[in-house]
Amino acid sequence: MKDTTKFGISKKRVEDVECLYLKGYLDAHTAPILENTIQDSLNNGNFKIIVNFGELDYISSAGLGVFMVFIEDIRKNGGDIKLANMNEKVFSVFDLLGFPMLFDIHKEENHLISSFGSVKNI
Amino acid sequence: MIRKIFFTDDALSNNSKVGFFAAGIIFTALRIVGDVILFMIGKYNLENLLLWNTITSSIIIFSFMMTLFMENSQKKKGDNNNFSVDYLKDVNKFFLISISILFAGIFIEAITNVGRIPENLFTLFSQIAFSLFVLIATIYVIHYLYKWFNIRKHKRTKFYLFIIAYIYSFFIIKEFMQFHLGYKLEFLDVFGIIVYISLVVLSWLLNSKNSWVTLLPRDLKVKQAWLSFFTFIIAIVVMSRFADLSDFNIIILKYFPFSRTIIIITFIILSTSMLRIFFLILASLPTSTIVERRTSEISSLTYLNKLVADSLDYNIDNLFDVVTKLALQSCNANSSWTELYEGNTVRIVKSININENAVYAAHNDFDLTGMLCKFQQSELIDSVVESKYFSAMKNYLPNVKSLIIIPLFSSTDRIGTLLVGDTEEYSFEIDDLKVLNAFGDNIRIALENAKLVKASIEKERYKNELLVAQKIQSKLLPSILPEIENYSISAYSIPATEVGGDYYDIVKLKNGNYCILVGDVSGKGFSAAFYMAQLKGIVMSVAASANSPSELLRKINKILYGNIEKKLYITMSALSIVDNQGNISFARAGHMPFLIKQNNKISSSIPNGIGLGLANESIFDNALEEVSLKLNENDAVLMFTDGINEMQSEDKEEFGYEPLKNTLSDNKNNNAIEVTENIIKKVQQYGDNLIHSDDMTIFALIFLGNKKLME
Repeated sequence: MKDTTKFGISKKRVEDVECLYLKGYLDAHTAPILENTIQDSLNNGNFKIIVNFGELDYISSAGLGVFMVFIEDIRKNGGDIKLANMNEKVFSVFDLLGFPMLFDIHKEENHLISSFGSVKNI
Repeated sequence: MIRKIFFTDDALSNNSKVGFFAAGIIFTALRIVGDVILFMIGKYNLENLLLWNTITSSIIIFSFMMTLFMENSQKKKGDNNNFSVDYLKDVNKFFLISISILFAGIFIEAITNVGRIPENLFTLFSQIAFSLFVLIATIYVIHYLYKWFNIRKHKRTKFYLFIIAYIYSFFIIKEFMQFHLGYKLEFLDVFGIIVYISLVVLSWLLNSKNSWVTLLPRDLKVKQAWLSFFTFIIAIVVMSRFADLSDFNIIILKYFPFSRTIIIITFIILSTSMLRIFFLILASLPTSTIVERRTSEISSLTYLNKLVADSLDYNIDNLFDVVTKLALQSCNANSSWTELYEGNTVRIVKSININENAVYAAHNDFDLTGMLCKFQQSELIDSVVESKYFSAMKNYLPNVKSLIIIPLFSSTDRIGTLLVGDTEEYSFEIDDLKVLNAFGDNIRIALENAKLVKASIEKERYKNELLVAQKIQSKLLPSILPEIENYSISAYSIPATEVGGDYYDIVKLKNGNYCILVGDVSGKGFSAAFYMAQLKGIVMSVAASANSPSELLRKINKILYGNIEKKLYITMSALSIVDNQGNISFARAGHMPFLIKQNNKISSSIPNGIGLGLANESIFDNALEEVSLKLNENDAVLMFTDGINEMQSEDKEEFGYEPLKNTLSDNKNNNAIEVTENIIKKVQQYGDNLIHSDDMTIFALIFLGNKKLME
């Protein structure tokens, strides 16, 4: 029902921060794409990651799970995953689950870029 | 008379056969007794006994012919599957009959004096006996010739036999007119020659069908050729002995009128047929090896096909066993083996005339597997010694000088190789390769079949296990909810697949309060169901040590965190019924909002809280809020999983919270069961025929007011 071809990721590098721009539907079918992309970043030694949800229409529980897979490792390495620019619906999913208490979530990507250094602990 | 015999197609009963035979015997006896009496009273003179001889002879001939042809009409074509062999027996009979007629004639001629009046009873008796023997033997030959023409019949057989019947009649009349009645009638002699020639031509044409000869194995053909040729020679000799009008022949002629004619014509047909068959066999001899080979190829392939069909019970080793044997036979090879590649090891399933240890050694010492796997198609190695890849093999398998390699596949995977070897170089032909290729294809089909069967069995087993799991899981959810004073409660849960990750329960806390739980394990199907079962266990173990919903959730998180897969989490709402006065308190671990009806107003409550298993004790505990409320009469709380509000319609619109709120406010009957049932009905209607993709659970709680107080 949800078209997997409608999911896409583009990358941008701002200083030492890896910005991932998600687009479309993030569900059980497309979650592995995001997982691989983040894994690539880690393999390249980039532990400061911002995920921009500006063009993401939908996220399922499997999509949420992806962030939990890496966060521990990333924070151990002095990095973090920060979440930016969610629409209201996507934010409400994160919000219900209590993500705002676990992750830095902000409307502005730039705000998050400059905020790297202050790390939350799970 | 004869025409009648040839066209007696009706299956007459066995009784008439016995009747004819009895008639034949009785008249033969009558004739002998009559002759003996005539001889005794001195009246025996062949010249004067024409009427007596003609009548008895006709009846005897007729009776014995009928006896044999009755039998014939009962046997249908196709009764004998192996006619070629039967035919050989027939030719054997022809040969024996011809030779015995020949020698009996010579013998009788030698021991008796030939004269118009037999000099003694012994002479009379032996001459009659001989004449009878020749006559009955000839009828026997006619019978087998007729049977044989009919079994190998073609379009014109019936017509030719019809004409032959007339030819018999013609010569019988000719004999009667010319010999017994003494008319000269020279034109009949001239015409007779023409008829003789046409008889030879017809006999030749009757044997024109040759396909059966082609199918005979070579050794049988050679045997048949010899037999046919000798029978031809003997038949010619017998015929020519009876053809000239020697004294001896004249006596026979007089003893049994018509018998000589029948003998001569029958032996003309017999000798011509034998000659024709001899030529047919000679002509087919050069191709017989090829035909034999094709025949054996076809029968091996047919057998293999049968095996392939049987391989459904996945007795694959047996299949390889047979294939290895058949491959050897069909190529006339000396040795063969089938090896399978299982992971990095090689296993020889079946070998014939092969030292398996030598093959294993070859695999170990040089990369035989690798070389064999280079061939994606079957390959003929004319000379192992000269071969680019396999010359090293001569040290291991010195008797394999030429080789055929048949790669074996299952789907597209190379699973093994069938190898057929011979002790001679250049001993295989390209045809062998083709046949063996068919073997390879058949194996592929068999393996495919076996795989499909296995898959469907596994699917069936999976289905059964799923049913068991479903049964187990349904037992994890409470089937009956407790009665709680002043409250109406109801729960409803539908998994998306056979098993699901939704969880609801009602447990007693340490302080004796009931606590309602609704949870959702992320993901679906088996993994979710597995964690759901684990969750149930955790709840059971900690519920009795917690005093409040938040305390319960904290204890659960403490156990879960770090103990479940990182990408999985569980959301859960917990609501405890503090007393029977409408006091409740609830907490939420990342779960859906509580929908609350208070004084006919619906609101959602989202106390802070993180999903279970997502955060460590300190973060989780800090984040978790607990809310306390006092419900009034008719106030209600709805707890549910996201499968409800996220149910999608055909145009992908979500069900949302509104219909839930509406149902809650519409309910005036204070019946929680009605609320849950209405909601499930609405959700299912909304999703219409679409398969719901997530588990759905709903729990409703209605405070009925303090009835005791009211009373």
